[in-house]
Amino acid sequence: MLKMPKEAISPSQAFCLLVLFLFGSSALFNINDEVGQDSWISLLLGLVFALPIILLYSRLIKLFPGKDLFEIMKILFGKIAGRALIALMSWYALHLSALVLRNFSEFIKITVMFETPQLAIMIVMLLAIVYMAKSGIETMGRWSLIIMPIVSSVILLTVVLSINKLDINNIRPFMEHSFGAIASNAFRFFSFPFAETVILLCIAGSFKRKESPYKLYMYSSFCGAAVLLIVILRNILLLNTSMGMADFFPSFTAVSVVEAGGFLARVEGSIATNLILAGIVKITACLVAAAKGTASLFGIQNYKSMIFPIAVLSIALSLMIFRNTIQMVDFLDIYPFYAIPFQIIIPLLIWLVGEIKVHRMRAKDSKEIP
Amino acid sequence: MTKKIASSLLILLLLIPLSGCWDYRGLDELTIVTGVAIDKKPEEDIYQLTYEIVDLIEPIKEKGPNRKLIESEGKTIFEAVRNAKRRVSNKLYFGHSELIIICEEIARNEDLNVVLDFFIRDSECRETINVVVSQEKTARDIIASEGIGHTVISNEILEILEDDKKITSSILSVELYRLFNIMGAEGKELALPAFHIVQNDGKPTAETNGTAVFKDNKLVGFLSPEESKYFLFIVNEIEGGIFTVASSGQRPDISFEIYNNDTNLSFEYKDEKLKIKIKTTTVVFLGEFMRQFAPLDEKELNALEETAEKELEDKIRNVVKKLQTEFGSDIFGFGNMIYKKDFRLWRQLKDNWDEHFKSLDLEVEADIRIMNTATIK
Repeated sequence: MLKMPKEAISPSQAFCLLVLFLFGSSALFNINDEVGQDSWISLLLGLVFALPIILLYSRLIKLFPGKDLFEIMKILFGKIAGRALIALMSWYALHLSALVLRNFSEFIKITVMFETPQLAIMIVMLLAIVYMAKSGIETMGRWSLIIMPIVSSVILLTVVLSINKLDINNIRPFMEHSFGAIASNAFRFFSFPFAETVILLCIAGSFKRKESPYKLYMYSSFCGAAVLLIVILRNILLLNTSMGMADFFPSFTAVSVVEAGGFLARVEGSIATNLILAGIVKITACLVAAAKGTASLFGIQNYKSMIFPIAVLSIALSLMIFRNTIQMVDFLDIYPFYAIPFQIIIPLLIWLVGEIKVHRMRAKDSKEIP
Repeated sequence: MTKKIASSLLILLLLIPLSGCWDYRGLDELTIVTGVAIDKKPEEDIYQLTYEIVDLIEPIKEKGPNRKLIESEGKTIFEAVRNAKRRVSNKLYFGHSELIIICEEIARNEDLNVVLDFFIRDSECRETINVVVSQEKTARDIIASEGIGHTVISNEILEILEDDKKITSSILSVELYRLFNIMGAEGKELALPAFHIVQNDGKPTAETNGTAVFKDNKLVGFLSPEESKYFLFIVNEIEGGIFTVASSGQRPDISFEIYNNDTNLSFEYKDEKLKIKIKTTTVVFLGEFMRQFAPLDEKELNALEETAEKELEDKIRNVVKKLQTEFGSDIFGFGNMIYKKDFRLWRQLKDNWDEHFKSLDLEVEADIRIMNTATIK
C-alpha cells in the first residue's frame, strides 16, 4: 500500500487555524446570565485556567513531533487500550462537530432563515465543509490564513461603527458577582473554547516541526481570547446586560443595533455570514479529527475516505441531540463536566505515560529521539 | 466518460439550490409595515392593532410614498398580526417598522413587558423600534393622523423623536432594546415619550406631549413637556432646546438656547439618610430678551446667569419632588446610579427603594455659562 504523503501547514496557517477554532462558535453566545456584565472577567480568568492545559497540549506536540494524537495513543497504549482511547476521542470530535453544526444551523434558523428547515441549512454547510476536509489539512490552513484576518477585522469594524452607541457604564458595577460565580463561569470558558483545542492535537501532526508548539498555542490562545474579549465587551457595552442575557445570540442582536450615519445599518446579515465563515473551520477541524480517529481505529490508511460517512453521522447526530434551542443553550452548563475526560483526563494520561516512555527511550538510546 | 456524466449530473443538481433562497420573499409579496398602534377593545379583552403600511401600488416618484392603514384583532398580539392576513393579500413584514404606539389604557393596566414581548422576541422586528404612548382615547388616533412633512406618519414621528433632543428637548425617545434594558435594570423606572393630537391648519396632527411615567412597567402619569425638559437635565440627555427665565417678576422674558449640558449625579449615604447630588454645567446662548433694547454689560450678564441658575435648580427640584410625591417612580435612575457605583449599598437599599426614593434629600447645583448673546449686545 502506498504511504500517504504527510500534509504540512505553515506556522502562520496553524496560528490562524487555532484562532478561528477558538472564537468560531464562542462568538455566538458569550454573555452568561449568571455573571452578566462580569462575563469579560470570567473570560480572562478562563484563559488563565486554561494556560496549564494549553502548555500540556503543546508539550504533547513537542514530545511527539509530527505525530497526531491517535498515532501517539497507539504508540503509548498498544492495540487494545490505545483503540479504546482513540474511540473515545473520535466520539468527542464527532460530537463536537455535531454540536457546533447545530449551533450554527440554530443560529441561522432563528435569526435569518425562519422558514428553511435546519436539515437544509446543515446539508449546505456540510457540503462546503466536506469539500474542505477532503481537500486536506493544507487547504484548511490556507483557508484559515485568508479568512482569519477578514473575520477579525469585520468584528473590529462593528466596534468602530458602534462607537457612538457604546455605553461604558454598562460594565459597571465591576465584580458585582461573587468570585465563586465568576470562577465557575470561567470554567465554562475554559472548556468552551480554550480546552477544545485538544481537537487540534489530532491534526497537530501536520504542524511544521521547527516551530515551537508552545509559542504557537500560547500566541493563538491569547489572540483568540482577545477577539472574544472584544466581542463580549462590544455586546455588553452595546446591549447592556438584560438584553444581552435574554438573547440567544447577543452578537447578532448587538450588530443589528449598529447604525452608522443613517446609511450603514442592518449589517447583521453580513455579520452572520462572517461568523459562519469562522465556524466552518471549527466544524472542519472536528470532522477531520473524527475521520482520522475512525480511520486509525479500523486501520484504514487514507482517512479522507472516512470524511463523508462521518459528515453524514454528524448531521444525524446534530439533528438528534437537542429538541430545541433552549436545550442547546442549557447543555452549555453541562458541557464543561462532560468534556473533562476528553479535555483534561485523556491528555493528562497521555502526557504522563508519554513523558515516562520518552524518558526511558532516551535513557536507552539517545540517538533515536532527536 | 463516467466522470463527464457525473459532473454534468452534479451541475444539474446544483441548479436546484442555486435557483433561490428558501426564504425568498420578493418586494411584491410584502406588505411593509412602518408603524403599529396597539389598542384594546374594552369590553372583550381583545387586542386591536392598526398597522401603517407603505403603499407601493401608486407611483412614488412624484409625491413620495403613500400610506394606508390596516386593522386587525386578536386575543394575543401575534395572533392579531397574523389575522391581518385575512384581509390583505400579502403577509405583513415588520423588518422596516419604526414605531409602536401604545394606548393609554393598555399602558395603565397591563405590564408593558407582556405587550411588547412579541416585538422583542420576533427576529423580524428590529431592536431599534421606538415606543411611544398615546394620550388620546386610542393609539389608532395617532397613527391615523396625517403628517405634515411626510405622508407616512411613522416616518414623521420617528424624525420628530430623533431630532427632539437637539431642538426642543422635551421628550426622551426610547428604542426597544433600551426599553427592555430599563425594564430589567436595577433601580430604574421607564419613561416613554407621549403623543397627543392637536389641530393644525384644521387637521388633526400628532404632537409630542411630554413624558409618560411608568412604575413597575405600568403607566402612572404624565410629565408636561416643560417638566420633561428638567427630567432630561437630570438624566443628562439634553443636547439643545430652549430654557426660559424671568429676569424680574413672574413672566419669563429671556430665552436661553442650550448649547450643551453635562449633568453629574452622585450620592451620599450617612446615618441611614440618602442624599442625591445633581450638578449641572450648561453652556447657553442668550437667544431672546423680551424688553426694551438696552445693551447688556458683563455685570448684568452675571446677574442673569445667577437668576437662571436659581431657576434651573428650582425647576429640577420641583420635577424630582413631583415624582417623589405624585408617582413614586424613580425614572431618573438614582437607584441604578447607586447600584453602578456601590452595589453593596444598593443591596441594602433595594428592598425599600420606594421609601428611600420618596424620602431622599436633594442637592442641586446648577452652573450656567452664557456663551454669547447672538448678534446683538
